[in-house]
Amino acid sequence: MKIVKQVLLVITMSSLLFSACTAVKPYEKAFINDEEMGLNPRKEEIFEINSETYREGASGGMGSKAGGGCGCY
Amino acid sequence: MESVAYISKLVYLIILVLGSEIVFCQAQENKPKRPVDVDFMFNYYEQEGNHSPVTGGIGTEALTNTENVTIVHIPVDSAGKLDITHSINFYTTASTDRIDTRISSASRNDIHWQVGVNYEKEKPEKSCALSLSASASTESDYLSSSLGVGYKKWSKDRNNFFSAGFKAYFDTWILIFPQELRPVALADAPTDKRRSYILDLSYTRVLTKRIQGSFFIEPVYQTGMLATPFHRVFFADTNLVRIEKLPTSRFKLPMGVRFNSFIGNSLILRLYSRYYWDDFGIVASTSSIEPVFKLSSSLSVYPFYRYHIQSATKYFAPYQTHSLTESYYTSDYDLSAINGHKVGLGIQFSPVLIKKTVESKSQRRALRSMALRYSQYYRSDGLSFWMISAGLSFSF
Repeated sequence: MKIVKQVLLVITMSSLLFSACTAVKPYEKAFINDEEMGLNPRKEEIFEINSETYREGASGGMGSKAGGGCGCY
Repeated sequence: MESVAYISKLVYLIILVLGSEIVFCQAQENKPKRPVDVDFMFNYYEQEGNHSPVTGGIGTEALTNTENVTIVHIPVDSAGKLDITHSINFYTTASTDRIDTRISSASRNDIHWQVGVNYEKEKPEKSCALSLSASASTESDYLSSSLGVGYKKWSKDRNNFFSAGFKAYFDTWILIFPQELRPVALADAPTDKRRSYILDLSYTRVLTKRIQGSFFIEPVYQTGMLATPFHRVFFADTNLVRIEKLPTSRFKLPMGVRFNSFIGNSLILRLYSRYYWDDFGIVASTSSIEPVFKLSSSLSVYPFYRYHIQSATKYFAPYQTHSLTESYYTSDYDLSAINGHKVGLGIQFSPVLIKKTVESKSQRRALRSMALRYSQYYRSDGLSFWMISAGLSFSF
């Protein structure tokens, strides 16, 4: 039950945060469209994500594999 | 083994069919060809530690790993793309060398090979895209294959994006037990299969002219052999040794947010925060910060810092402290109460005008980007690793 409350809290706070914004026109996206503004992990970061997946029991949520490959070394 | 062979065949069949389609479509269309992009990436990794689970939570964890990844992005007609990924890594590890003998050196070698395909088709008139993926991988004791499906939807002004993906992994162990526990350990291995089902949901929003953020949640359900068959566990007040034993199902729930903001004209702040819970009893939190300094329109330098903290699984206990009355037990410090710090530095060069004309004006070969990244990781139980990664991207 505690986890359900925590999940709901995170979702509610994120919803409030994400609703507090204005519509941005395409011609106003010079900064947003910068290559470094991408929200996905960098391509070279995949190696670190894999290592952290194996070396930390709490894996997932990093755009990486959460299964496949045992990492048992 | 059969599932990996099946998925491998499927992967090659998809490449063959889509490759034919590419040739056919490009021959039919008079439109300028979209370029084929290729990413080459390389990584070297070195690890030190003294809590190897192979020897029950004591002993060396020295490891080196070298990995090469190639990703080819092929345009298919005007709205589709095919990504083909191939990776191979070679590693030597001191710990798994002790499956057979207690005293040895860092001489155990293995190769992990992986191939994957992802096909995505955009439907611009409906502001959505669908994707299908498959992958297969092998190493000496583990075979893995996966199938996935994805859906993306965005608003017409492209300020809101929603994506949903589902992926299933079908993994098979080649059960290798510690030498002294063969064949009795077979009774402690419930199966040689492992299944992982991953649902990946995310919502991204452009918040202002300079800030965008995303929220994600990625529930994972795993079943089968979740323990590692050659991890030893030593019990208190006895000389008894057994292999690690964990429940045959696990539910994980990671969720988090990312925020990127452009500050002034040359600084970008990339923030990440994640919360994690699972039914093994692990609760974790991870945060990272990455200020990107844009030295010019094509050159960026970025230091980064990441902090991770987690509680231990209820099944963990150190060397020779487990009780024989316990149903499940592990001495794997990856599942213990730890915190980890990662620091590093990266450099990204994305030339805009370095293009070399070959054969004709319409066919150009260009270097799109170069990247170099170094990181160092320290874990509270003494484990540490460092790695260096490099990447080159070309358009053909």
